[in-house]
Amino acid sequence: MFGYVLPDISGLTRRDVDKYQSFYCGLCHSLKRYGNIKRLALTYDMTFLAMFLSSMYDTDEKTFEKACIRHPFEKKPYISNKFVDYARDMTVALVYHKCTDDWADDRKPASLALSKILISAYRAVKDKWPKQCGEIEKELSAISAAEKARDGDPDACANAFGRLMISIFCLEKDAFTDYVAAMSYNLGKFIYMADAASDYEADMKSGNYNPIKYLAKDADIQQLLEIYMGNCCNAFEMLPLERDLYIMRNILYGGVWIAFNENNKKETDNDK
Amino acid sequence: MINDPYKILGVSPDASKDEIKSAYRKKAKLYHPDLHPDDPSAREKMNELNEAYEMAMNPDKYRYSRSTAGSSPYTQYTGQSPFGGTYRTYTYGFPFGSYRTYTYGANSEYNPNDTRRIRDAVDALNRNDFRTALQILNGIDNLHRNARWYYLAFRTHSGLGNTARALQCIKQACAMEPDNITYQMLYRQMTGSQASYNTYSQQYVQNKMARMCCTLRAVNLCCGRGAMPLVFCC
Repeated sequence: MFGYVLPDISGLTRRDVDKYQSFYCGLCHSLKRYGNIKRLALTYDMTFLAMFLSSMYDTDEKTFEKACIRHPFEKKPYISNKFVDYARDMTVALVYHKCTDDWADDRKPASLALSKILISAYRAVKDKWPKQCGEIEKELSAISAAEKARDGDPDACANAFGRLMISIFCLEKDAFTDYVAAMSYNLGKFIYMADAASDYEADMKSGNYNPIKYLAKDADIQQLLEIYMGNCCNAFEMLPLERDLYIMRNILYGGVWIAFNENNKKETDNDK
Repeated sequence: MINDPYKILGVSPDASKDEIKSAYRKKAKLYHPDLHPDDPSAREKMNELNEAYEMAMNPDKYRYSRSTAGSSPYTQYTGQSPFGGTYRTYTYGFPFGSYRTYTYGANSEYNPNDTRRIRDAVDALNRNDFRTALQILNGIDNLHRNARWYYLAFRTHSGLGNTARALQCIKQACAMEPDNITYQMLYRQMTGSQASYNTYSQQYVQNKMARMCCTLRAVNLCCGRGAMPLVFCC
């Protein structure tokens, strides 16, 4: 489910790309706190979280410069602030759970290894953010349960993932919490269903759970996904965001479709 | 109810939504209680600013009415809470605040042909007991699932946040009773966010073209770089 909340680079200027990159690098540097796991856990989706919260709460974006393994000869700028650190903590929680789920479902040894590496980091994160981690565990369990139950409910998993996103995005109780919740709820539903739609063919062959099969045969998936993003962006456009607004719009109106369209294209190519 | 939200924000009444957002940011820096811990009126000013923002961002909802003398010229369009329910074409697909979830349309009434079970479902819906309504409706077998059943199922699933099934149900209701204006309107309301999303997307694409054109010129002038660089590490 990672890799949907991406920027559409073709629509970004060099400056926009650099700005986005400085959050991405910031997240990478921040992950170092938990050891050498950054290459395994870094995601674009949590980069969006850091950028969104920094803009929403008008936080300082202190920029530092550092060379790294990937760029050994050039000091690249990266942002460090409390929301980059928060996004790092949420990354650890989500990746840890993904690994334990993958091990439980598919017995991938790499997943087991990573989950063991992450377990002490996750304990630290859970101490710091008990509410979020509790919600993540609860909703991932709900998704697991729905996958086992196979009771014909196409919305259960998407809604659970939506609620998970609410708990991650809604940090403060203020005048805008409802809008942030509506935005993240629908974004979560979009991510889950777009991912399910992309995996549909493979899942039907392998017999894996996929809620898309509980929709009508002539269901318009594109329409459903656009309704989710429509609800998400109706709420997003009500928020008093100014900084990095263009980049965030690029992601929400363009970037989120990149992975979905790629997967759809592959399937229509296969049909030919 | 405040008198002039635009004055509080410091913008003209025909400011764009993005201009209103920027104006809010500017004023919030001035009024934020964290920045003025010793000033008791800071919180009040902040609340007023938030209210002004809500009104300026929802101009249809807070209609300017010149006829009310002595009271605020702005009256709220409906009796609902500002966050409650579908408002015009803006839907958020989310049960706001009070968790009195968004209901499409007014309270349902009985139809003359309603069976007892349908009436029970209608009662459950009217008290926002969506789980019970779903139980009742699911107890009705396929043969008896007519357009009205699908309409009530739509209302139930909407209340539970089951977007995929709500969409299926209202489509089915429309297919079974194509002349029913209410069902058509509800379908349009539900897909309203799809329409607004596409409108915003088009605006974004227009802005993107304008922005990229400027960049292309700048890049050609300064660096003469070729293709977009590979952005990310992994």
